Amino acid sequence: MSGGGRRGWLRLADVMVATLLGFFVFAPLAVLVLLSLTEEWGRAFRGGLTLRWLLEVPNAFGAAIAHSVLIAGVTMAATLLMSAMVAYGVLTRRVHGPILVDTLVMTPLTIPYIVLGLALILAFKAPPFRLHGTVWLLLIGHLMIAMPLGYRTTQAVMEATDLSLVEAARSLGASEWTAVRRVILPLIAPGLVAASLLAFVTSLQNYSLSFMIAPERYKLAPLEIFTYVFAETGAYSNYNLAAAVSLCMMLVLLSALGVVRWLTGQSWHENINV
Amino acid sequence: MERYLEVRGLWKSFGPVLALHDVSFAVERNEFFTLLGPSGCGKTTLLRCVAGFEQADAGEIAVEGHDMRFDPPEKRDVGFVFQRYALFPTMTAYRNVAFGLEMRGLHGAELDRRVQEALDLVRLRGLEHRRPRELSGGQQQRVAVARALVIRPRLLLMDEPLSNLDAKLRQEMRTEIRRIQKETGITTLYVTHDQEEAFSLSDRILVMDAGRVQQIGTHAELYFQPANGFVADFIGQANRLPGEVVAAQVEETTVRVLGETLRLPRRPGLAPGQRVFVSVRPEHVRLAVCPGDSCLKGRVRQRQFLGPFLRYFVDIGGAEVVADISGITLDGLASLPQEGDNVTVGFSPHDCTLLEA
Amino acid sequence: MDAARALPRVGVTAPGRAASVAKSWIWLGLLLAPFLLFVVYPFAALVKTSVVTPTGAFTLRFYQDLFAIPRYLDKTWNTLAIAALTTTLSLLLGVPLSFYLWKRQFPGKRILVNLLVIPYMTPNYILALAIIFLFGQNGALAFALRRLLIDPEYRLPFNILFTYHGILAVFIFHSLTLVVFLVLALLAGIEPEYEEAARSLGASSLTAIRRVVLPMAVPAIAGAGVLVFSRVMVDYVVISLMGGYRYATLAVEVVNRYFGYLTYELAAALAVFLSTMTMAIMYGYLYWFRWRRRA
Ligand SMILES: Nc1ncnc2c1ncn2[C@@H]1O[C@H](COP(=O)(O)OP(=O)(O)OP(=O)(O)O)[C@@H](O)[C@H]1O
Ligand SMILES: [Mg+2]
Repeated sequence: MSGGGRRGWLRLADVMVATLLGFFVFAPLAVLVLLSLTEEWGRAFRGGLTLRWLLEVPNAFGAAIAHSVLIAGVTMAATLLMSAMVAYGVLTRRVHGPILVDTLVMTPLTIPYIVLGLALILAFKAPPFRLHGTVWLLLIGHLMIAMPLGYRTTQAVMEATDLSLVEAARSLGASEWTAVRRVILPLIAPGLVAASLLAFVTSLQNYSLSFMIAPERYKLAPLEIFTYVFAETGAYSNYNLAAAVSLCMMLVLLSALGVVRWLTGQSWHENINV
Repeated sequence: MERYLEVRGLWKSFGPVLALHDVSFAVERNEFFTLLGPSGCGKTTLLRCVAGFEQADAGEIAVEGHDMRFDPPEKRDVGFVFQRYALFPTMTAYRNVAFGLEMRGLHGAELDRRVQEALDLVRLRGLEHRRPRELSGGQQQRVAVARALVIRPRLLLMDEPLSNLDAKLRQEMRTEIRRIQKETGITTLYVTHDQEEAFSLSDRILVMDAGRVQQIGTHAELYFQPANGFVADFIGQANRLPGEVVAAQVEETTVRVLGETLRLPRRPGLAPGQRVFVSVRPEHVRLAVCPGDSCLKGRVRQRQFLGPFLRYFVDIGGAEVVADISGITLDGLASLPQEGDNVTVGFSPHDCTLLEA
Repeated sequence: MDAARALPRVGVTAPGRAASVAKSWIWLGLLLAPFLLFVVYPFAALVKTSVVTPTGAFTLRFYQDLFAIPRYLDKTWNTLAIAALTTTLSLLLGVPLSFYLWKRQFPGKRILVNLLVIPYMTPNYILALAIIFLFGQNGALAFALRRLLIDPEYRLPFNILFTYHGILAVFIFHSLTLVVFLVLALLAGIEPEYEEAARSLGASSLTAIRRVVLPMAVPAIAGAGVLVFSRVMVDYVVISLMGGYRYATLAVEVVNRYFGYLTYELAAALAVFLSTMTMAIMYGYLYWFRWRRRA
């Protein structure tokens, strides 16, 4: 029967699509896991499982990871603060998201990181503001690329929140502050936390901007990975170690995004940008 | 009686939910046939099975004797009007209507003529180049009807097409749909949960509940001879008085209701001692005057003035009977029973229906 | 309505109360100051650097250089070419794949689609590393084949590092999940009724998708395309990691000019040029989207 033949082809296509998806989903993670656990895998190959590389991550990357987490953590906190400010502004009707503000706050998202980095260097390498070469400029740069995500997410959250709830609560005798704290805050808190976690992720994984503006001896995890990669040129090229630290980073990113997804209970992907 | 569409023994379940439970019925050519039932009773599922969007688990669906159970939707030649219209948002009204004709290989002047004809039929001339979102709800609804009709399908299926319109427009579109159906003579299967809509449009009505057919008949049959308690309740209002069969004679059945004995027209299959319900509509209940044998005593608990009639809630030994008294005048109001008055409640045995409990 | 939104509007709860107006502006200032100071001002400094000679005179020389010197034209061309190629290929692959995933049900589909999160959020440099580890001459595939063929000298017939197709592979890997995600998200919101309506009118399943659903998905597809295009266009890390200096794009050239040759003015001009292009694409899409909505 032709119907049976068609079904057979579709089954085959299903298998192919599933394989392709499976490859996309698992291949990068699998190879990272494999490499992190193999004795030696570089120019030469020596089988056998070991935890050596993963255990060496704190040694080799300790400072870099600490710096990355510190910067990302401060960025996250600042984004949370700004998100709260935006939410409060919308609540008290100080600002109805005028398009000028939107555009301005969103600009960093349309500027390539390399360009933003160069602009920050050129603006702050000479007095009056001499910040180039300091951690402050690095932090500022990360804030600028992460906070727009917080702004946008918060705005979306506030738009989806029925603000007449405040009036409803006040008609029942709650003060404005109580109304906000007891009714609105529980509604928007997951959104605000999600927004700041996105800021954390954005900062933690950034390569290009950090590459431009990080102080010379200030190690950051994404930049550090590269020193261990270039097998052809690098003195201490070590695939295993590079894979191990990449794997650690993936785990952090995945758990952060897992929490975001769990908090918002919605598709998170609209929030990730260029 | 010509069986144009025949549905026999249809079953359909979604996992644990049994949506259709052995549904059978037949629709005549040119008939306007309505599926009526409460929300979630399986009306949409039934319609979607006929259209081929859903595969029934068992049963037969045939048009003019041709079983189309295994035909894909595009081969079934049925027009479908969706509850939310499903007009293609990227196309103008004209292109929406033309779509089905294009699928049938029509083009050029012939296509244009047919489209214009359909737009004329639904009185939408002049709006053909608007996109769906530039049309009002009623206009969108007309486009949806034109789109389904223009292909001259063997069957027109409509799933609550008026439920998205406001009350006034719904009235208007009701007359429109009936006019269009009469003009085209197309056999129509219509779904609604609104009894008034079903009555005003249909030749015959199928009442459904929980996936089962409860009764098929004309409006008068459903109203005056409900087959069971569900139909009696669902169609209009009904008082349901619990009782017990005392004797089942050749011509009448004697029933004991609320301490009184009533003699009602015979209903076969009832044996003495059986629990039953006596169903009687509020407008058939009379107060104060006792016509003789079917007569109960009670006390008025509440009286509501509703314009064309007065609605009484009468307490009879713990049970409540609703009575609608019409033909009232301003002067007459005072002489009618007041709240708290003792009254006798009566109704003609011919207006009662005996239902199995 | 849109015209009203285009104007800066500071909302005030109680109309006419000066204190409230002042508060609004203070509040706005608090929100905007960081962006003015750390985005707008630096960008202005960047533009200024690109139009001022070392002696302080105004000049457009550096921009003229961009369009006159073949080296820079090459970079521009490289940038646009690889962005266009990646976009085209990942749309050609991703859109049919999304529709397939939308229509078909097979065991494991839901889980796989949900797990696409993983490659989707993997940073591009880690993805590039993974691909090098998989398909490089010292990668998993090569080692496996060496074992299998018992030939320790075996080399893969293709090179991932230092090649155009290597770079392209990473970009496509990274973009495909984005396309699938965006298109699938839109498709998931399209009621099955549209397709059913088309089918009841006589369209086959494929025709219904092509004529009815596909046009409805155009904005999402275009949006995915724009995102992919601009993401590739501004890339620095993948190209430098894959060792493709021969295929250097504008972003790579910005870094080269600045760190390699210390020619700030040219680097600035290149940077302004690059961001003008990305902004044009982003805002172009946004305006097209709005116009399409209104039209
Ligand atoms: N695709 C589906 N999956 C699971 N259950 C379904 C599906 N479609 C319908 N059902 C169930 O089948 C039953 C009948 O649904 P159906 O849509 O036919 O009701 P309906 O009579 O059209 O109701 P309404 O008047 O609310 O439209 C319901 O219990 C519903 O939950
Ligand atoms: Mg329904």
